[in-house]
Amino acid sequence: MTWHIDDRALESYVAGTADSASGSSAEQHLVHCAGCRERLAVLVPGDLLDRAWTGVLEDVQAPRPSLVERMLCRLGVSTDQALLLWTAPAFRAPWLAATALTVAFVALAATTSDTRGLVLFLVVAPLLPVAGVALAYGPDADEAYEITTAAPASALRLVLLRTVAVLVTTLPLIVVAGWLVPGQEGLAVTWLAPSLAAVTATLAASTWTSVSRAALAVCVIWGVLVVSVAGPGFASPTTAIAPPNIPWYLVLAIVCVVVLWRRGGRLHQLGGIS
Amino acid sequence: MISTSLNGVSKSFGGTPVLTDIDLDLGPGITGLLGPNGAGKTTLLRILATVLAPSAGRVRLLGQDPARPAQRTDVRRRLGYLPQELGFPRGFTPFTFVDYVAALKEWPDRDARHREVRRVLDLVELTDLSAKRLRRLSGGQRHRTGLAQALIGEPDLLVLDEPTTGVDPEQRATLRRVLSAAATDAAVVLATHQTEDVAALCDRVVVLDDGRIRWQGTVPDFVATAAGRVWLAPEPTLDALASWRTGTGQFHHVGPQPPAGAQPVEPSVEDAYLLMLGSAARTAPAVAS
Amino acid sequence: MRAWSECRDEELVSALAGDDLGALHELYRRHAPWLSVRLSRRCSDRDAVADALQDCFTAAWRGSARFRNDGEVPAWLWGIAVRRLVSRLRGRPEAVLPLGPWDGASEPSAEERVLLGVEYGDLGAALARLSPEMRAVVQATVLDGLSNKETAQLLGIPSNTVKTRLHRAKAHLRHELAGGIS
Repeated sequence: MTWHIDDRALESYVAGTADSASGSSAEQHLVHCAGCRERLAVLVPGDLLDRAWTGVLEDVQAPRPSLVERMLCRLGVSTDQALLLWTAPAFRAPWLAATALTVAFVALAATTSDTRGLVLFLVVAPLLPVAGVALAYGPDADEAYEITTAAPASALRLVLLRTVAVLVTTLPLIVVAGWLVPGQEGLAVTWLAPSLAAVTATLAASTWTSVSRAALAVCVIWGVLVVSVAGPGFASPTTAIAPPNIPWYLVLAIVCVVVLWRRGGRLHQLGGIS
Repeated sequence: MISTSLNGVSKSFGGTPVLTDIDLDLGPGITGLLGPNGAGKTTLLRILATVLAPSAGRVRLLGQDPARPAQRTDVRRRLGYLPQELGFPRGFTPFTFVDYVAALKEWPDRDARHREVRRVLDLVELTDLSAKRLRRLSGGQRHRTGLAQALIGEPDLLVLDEPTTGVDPEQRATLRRVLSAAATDAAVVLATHQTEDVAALCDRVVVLDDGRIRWQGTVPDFVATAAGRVWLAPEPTLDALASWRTGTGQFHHVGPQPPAGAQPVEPSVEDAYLLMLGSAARTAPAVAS
Repeated sequence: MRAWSECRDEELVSALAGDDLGALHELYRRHAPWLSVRLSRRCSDRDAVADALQDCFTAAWRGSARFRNDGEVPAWLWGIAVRRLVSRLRGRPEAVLPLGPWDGASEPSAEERVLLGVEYGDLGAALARLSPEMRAVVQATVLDGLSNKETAQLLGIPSNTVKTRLHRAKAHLRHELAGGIS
């Protein structure tokens, strides 16, 4: 490079007063000459550049609010609540994929085999939301659990928000799967009652022990219950959700909600297990 | 502004006492909590950070009683906490993680929250790495992210559990600057088992051993407890509590009774610590250079 | 570790793949000023210029892997910036600044004359004799590197018109350059 843009031409180029010819010449030169670019940089006012840089930072550091977050905000949820909800494991792809696979497997089992498959469906389906709750909160699920606990945001509200997130993602899938099971009208819906009881029982029990243990206990109890009332050789597999039994689940759910409400403060601190 | 104190605080887990009869007052400035592993430092810090309730005793944090839910939430609004075990959910970058914690700390306005996140990341010099996945950062860089989230909102009480883990010497200077700035109005408590941290960072020190406070006061007073009980000699002696070879070839001794005619040496925090814990010191002294 | 200010442009771009904001900031410091001026000469709307500039560096951050080391970083950045401007100005041809008179109302200085001569030589004079519409198309396609479709979007004219004008412009220029050489 044997020559460079002289100062006057550079100034008029930056000011926008250069004519087309010298402006275009300057432009072609600047693409190749770092020195003249540096000289030009000094002449450009900073306000537009600073504004654009802040925009770049925002684009690069913070991902745009996802579709889900924006939908939630439109429903009236504040942006920070939407952020906390979206980062709930319930919405993360692995959980969704695992849920879908489980449901598919179980529905398949229910349709292809006979009473055994039905029992399997009945055991697994109501417990999927419980697993979701276990994943949504607690030391085993949340890697930043201590920081979350020490924050002023209400732990109870966070748990409930995430439980809602879990229910919203898993319930529709399971209802569809249940609907596909042949010969059992109402199966798609009647299992919702034990599911509700299981979820509220897990939440209530988590005020005594860790969420994972509570979830595990509930799963085991439910599995044993379904199998034991199914009769010898699984003669009557759907006894657990026979219409006379449904109200019991609802009663249990109400009791658990009351317990959770009264003991909700316990969720604000780490349990005795350190 | 001494409105943070513990009186007669004890904590047991399933019958095993971890903290016994802790009396502590915290004011503005940096207080170091020094003690060997297993002394109960983490438990004590968890009580200060409101994530653990004591089995007995009275706790006052920033003038509030953390046993009452409404006051506990109020304390948490003015609290910053860096736990010892720091985990990050998958896929977070320093920016998105600190943003997440800021959301937990009730910053609903997105723009204001992002400005605060950038401010604290800049304080710990993580701006250039703020868009990089945490899983791909070094341990020290992850720890700085942890420190950044604790600094959100300029807390009045800053509780840090082993903040110098994985921090190299030049970053230690940054840490000192950040904590000193924070400590002008806030009470800063940091736990460590390394005496160099206390010497470099703290105004006051509390020595914790086996769940009890052995000593508390200013750092100069602490060092003075070892006056006249540190000496150099050409050969190691058996009377000393601990001795090690220095870079000059002499042996540095710490002990309750120096022999007559011994060459006395200015004591350090480490010397005072060794003397304080006596033969119960579980950490082997490092070779001083 | 060397400071970013000592690294070449290509090194900065490779560092973007490692998600290093320091590299992006240095790239911005070096190139955003001249890019903003060049964009402003195409568009009267300062907000559109700021947005295009922002989009450009965000796109550079995300697409740094697509930069092949055979090109030059400034040219690559300009390519991104001008395309972002085009998409921002879609449907707003009134914001596009017309290319002013080639010769300028004022007498060019001696330096400018040398510049013109060295950069364009006879081409400069030949370009001066084109009509403004043809010059605009030449500037967009040849100087700014836009495709016909993008040029059409920028100028708010049909794609076929772009092709026709470019064809005619090239014919004119060939004629001029083959003919008298001064």
